[in-house]
Formats: sequence, C-alpha cells, structure tokens
Amino acid sequence: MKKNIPVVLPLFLSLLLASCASVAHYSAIDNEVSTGNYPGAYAKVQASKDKYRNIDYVLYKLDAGLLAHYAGAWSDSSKLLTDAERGIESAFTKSVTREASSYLVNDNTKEYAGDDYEDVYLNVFNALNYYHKGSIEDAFVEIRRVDNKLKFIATKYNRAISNAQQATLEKSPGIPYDPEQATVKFTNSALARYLSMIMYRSQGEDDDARIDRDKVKLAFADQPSVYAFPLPTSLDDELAVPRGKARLNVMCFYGPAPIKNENTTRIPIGPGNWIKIALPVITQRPTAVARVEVTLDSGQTFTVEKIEDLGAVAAETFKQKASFIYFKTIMRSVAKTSSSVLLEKGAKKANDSGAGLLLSVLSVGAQVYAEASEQADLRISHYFPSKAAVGGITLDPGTYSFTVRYYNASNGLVHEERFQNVTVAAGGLNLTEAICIK
Amino acid sequence: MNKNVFFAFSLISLAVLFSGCSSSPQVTRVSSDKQTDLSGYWNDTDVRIVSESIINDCLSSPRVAQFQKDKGKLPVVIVGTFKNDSDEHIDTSIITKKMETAIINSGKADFVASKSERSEIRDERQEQQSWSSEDTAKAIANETGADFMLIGSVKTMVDKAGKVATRTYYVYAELIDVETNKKIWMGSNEEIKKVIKTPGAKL
Repeated sequence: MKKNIPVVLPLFLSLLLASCASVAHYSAIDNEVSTGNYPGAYAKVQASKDKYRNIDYVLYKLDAGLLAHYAGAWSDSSKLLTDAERGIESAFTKSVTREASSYLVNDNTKEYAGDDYEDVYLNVFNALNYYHKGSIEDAFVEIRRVDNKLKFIATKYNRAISNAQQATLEKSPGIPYDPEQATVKFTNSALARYLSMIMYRSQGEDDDARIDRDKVKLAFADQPSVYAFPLPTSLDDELAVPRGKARLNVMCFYGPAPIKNENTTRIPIGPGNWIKIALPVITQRPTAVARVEVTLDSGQTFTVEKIEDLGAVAAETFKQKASFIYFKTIMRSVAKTSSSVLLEKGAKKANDSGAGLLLSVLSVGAQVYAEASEQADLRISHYFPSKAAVGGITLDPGTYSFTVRYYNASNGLVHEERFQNVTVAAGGLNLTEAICIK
Repeated sequence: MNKNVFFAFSLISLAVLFSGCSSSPQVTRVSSDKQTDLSGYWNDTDVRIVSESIINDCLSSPRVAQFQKDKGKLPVVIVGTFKNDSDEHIDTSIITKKMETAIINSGKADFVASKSERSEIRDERQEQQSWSSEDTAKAIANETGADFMLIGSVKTMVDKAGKVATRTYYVYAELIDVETNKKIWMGSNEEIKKVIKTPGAKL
C-alpha cells in the first residue's frame, strides 16, 4: 500500500487542480463592460481565450458571443453564439472519463454544457444579430429554435431523476429536499414572443403577430413566478399602428447576469468525519437601473418597460438541474467520507501499530481530500443581461434622433445612450437595441 | 517486469498514440449521391430527394403542358420567394436553382431573371446605351414578362424527448399565374423524416 501512495496522491492532486476553472480574467473584462466599452470588452475576452479550458469551450463562446453582440459585431456574435449552441448540443453526449472523474472529484471536471437559460437566450440574441444583418427570415429561424427548446426543457430532466432517487433524498435525515423545487415553471418566453410579434408585424402577417401578442400575455398569466411584474402597457399599441404611420421600437437590456455561488453544508457523521455538500446556487446580481425612458429630440418621450427577467428565468430553469446536482453531490460526498470512515475503522482494528498509524493517516487524508475536492461547479456565462425591457412609439415615417436614459430608484441618471438619425419607415421593423450592463 | 518487455510495450503504446495524431485532415472523395447524415440537420441528400420529387411532379403537371398547347409558346416562369419557415438556416436557393435547371433543361418552360438577379442585368443594359455600339446595344423596356411565378416554403416539425428527436421536413412549391393569381400547380414533399438518437456517452 505504501508503494501506491506516491502514485495515487499525484493522480488525485492533478484531478483536483484540473477541476479549477480560472476566473481572474473576468475583472478586466468587467471593467470595460461597466464603462459601456463593449468593443474593448470583446477585445479583452478574445485576448483571454486561453484562460478558458478546453472543457469550457461553450462558456467562452457564450461570453465572447454576447460581448460581440453588445459591440455591434453582428456576424462575429452570430458565429460565436451558433458555435456555443453546437457545443451545447455536442456536450449532451457525456464523456465517460470526465463523467467518471466528476463522481470522484467534482463537477468542474466535466465539459461545460451550458445552462438551459443560456441555451434559450442565445437564440434570442442570435435573432437580433440576424435582424441587424438585415435577414428577418433567419431571425425567425432563431425564434423557432427558442420555441422548440422551451418545449423540450419541461421534459429534459424527468428521466435523470428517478422517483426512487427522489424518495431516497426525501427520507434522508438532515438533508432537506423540496420536490416542488424540481418543477420548472418556464415554458414560454415573453421576450421571444414579443420579438416574434414585431417581426411578424413588419412582414404584414397580422394574424401571426396577434397570436404572438396573445402568447406574451399568456406567458405573464401562466408563469407568475418568472413574470412577477406588470405586462408592458404598450403591448396592444404594437398592433394598432395606423396605415401610413411607422412604429419605432426600443429594446433595452440592462443589469448584470446572475452568477453561481457555493452553498456549503457539513453534516457530522462521527468524530473527525463529516459529509461536505457544496452546491451551486444562482445568485442575482443587483442592477442600478430601476426604469428606462426614451426621449426623442422632438421632445416626445416614452417609457421602456420590463418584459423579461432573465435572472429569474435562469434561477427557474436551473431548479431541475440543481436537484440532479444535489443527488449526485450527496452520493459523491458520502462515498468520499465513507472511505475515510472505513480507513479509520481499519486503523482501530489493526493489530500492527504501524499499519494502524498508516490507516489513520490515510483516513485523515481521505477526509481532507473530501473537504478540498468537494467544490461546487460555479461556471456560468457572465455577460447575459439580467433584464429586458421594451417600448415603442408611433411616428410619421422619417429620420429621428433620440436618447435612451436609464434611471435608478432615486431618479438619478445611471447611463444614457444616444442614437442619431435613425430611419423609421412605415411597414418595416424599426427596432433599436440599447445596452446597459450595470 | 522484464526491461525488454517494458521497452517494447512503451514503443507500441507511443506508436498507437501518435497514429491518432495526424497534422493534416483526412479527405475522402465520395459520390455526390452518397447519403452522408452527420448531424441530422438538412443536408445535400435532403435537397436531392426533395428537388427530384418536386421537379418530376411539376414537369408532369397536365396544366403546365396545357399552357403550351393553348398559347402556342412555352410558359415563362420567374422564381419568387422560397421561404425558410423551418428552425434551421436552410439555403432555399439551392432548391430553386435545382428546379430552375431541371425545368429549363426539360424544354417545358423558360425562365426569366429573378428580382435579385435582374438589377445587375438592367445596370448592364443601361451602360450599353452609353457605351456600346448602336447595333449591339440591347433595347431597354424589352424584357420578357413572366407568365408564372414559382414560390414555396420549407417548414420543420421537431419533437424531442431525452436522447431521441424527430425532424420532419415539409417542402411546398407552387406555380402561380402572374396575371390571374390562379395556382396552376402545387407540389409538396413530406418524405424527409429523421429520427436522431444522440449517444449518451463518449470516451
């Protein structure tokens, strides 16, 4: 056994080290994002590509894809987000070796397969990329992909968590388990429907636009946990544009994306032994923005109202995945600690004092390894916005300049963005996108 | 372990390892009609199946043949919008180009340049008015008007549960009389249905 220690120890240490994802590069990118310098942020994330491990391919593509979008590099963003989507599809097939190591070490050794909300919203941003590139047809393709994914999410994890597994968790003393938490209540995105509605309107397909408008309303009515705010008041006005008039739409994305933090519980199971359960939990990051207003140079103003809380959707769709992670973490942690307990029992029973000492040291080592290696997988893309807001105004066709202003709860100006000489044409889609990741 | 055996084993292992590390991609030429389904998405095989079926349908249409008998000339067709109503980024121009090629080569109809193609030709004609000799410059406002417009769409239906997904493609094409808006021919293909099983594990 002594001979095996030098072999086993580096193996576990290398597994442990390989399980650490770098996060240091984010601060430089975050600085650029906080000042609204999105081209700078995009350049910085590209320069930091080597900081992302191979297994974090999807994470890089999402981060870079979002920053490219904010920087107005539509083609780059489209390619990066499509790559991310393909990566998510490909990661559905799990690597046996990586899956096995995730049962020995932690989930950070696995390929990052993206969270459901990332998989859904990457298509929304890609739809906007295609719109900006002038292809409404391709934008519609992305919206249809959102729809298909939402249908699939509801059934995705049912097979992964069997009733027997759930029953085991519910009966386990000291381990809280809430079956209600494993039920996802998000199957319809008001933001995606809204985008689809104004795109259909621009194509003169009024019936389809009306159906999408109704689906926006249904999203709010059926999913109050995700849409805990009023329906945008301008919604019905979108489909009441008089003939010959033009509609200017402004879609704002604001607030930083949620992150994952580690929630650690230690359950003592004997002297010197405990089960460490380190779980990722979605943590919302606060936004300084409380309301958004658009002022045209002509003096007309309109409010841009919240239509989607992407942070809430992230938390909601993560619930089922979290319950699967919960079960797996407990299994892994119990196995790690059990080896320490067994070694300790062996040490007590050993007749040879040398062997007893060695087993005791190994027992402590196993517990230390369990403590050190039980780390939650906190990977999540950093640059999705936390909120989306929409608004619009009906105007005479022409060229307009306007300012989008973001205010905090005390009516203080947080940020403003200027748009010069925007053509607003009758019958088309005149959508302006504004970003404030603060 | 015997040193020689260990050495031989190491050499074999290294050889196996490096044999999998080629620096250039492996290229294999295959027949263009060979079925190569990699991702389950729309591919060249689907284009071939759909185009052949729709083209045959169109060329054997009695109403298209009747036009020539009635008017004493070949019908002139223009390609309109072939919409991608699917959930994939499909280049529908491949389908329309295949149809155009097959119909022209069949000798049963003529085609005129589509909306996206003709602006370049009009520019050229305009240039000829200033720069070409009088006897070679082509006349303006002498274009052939189309009798029919070819339009169509591709739609998909996707169902997915766990590791299995089905993708069904619905391709529609129709010829519409430009003067009367009458549909003189409609073709559809619903043969493309794929069951895609994603493997749960890889090495």
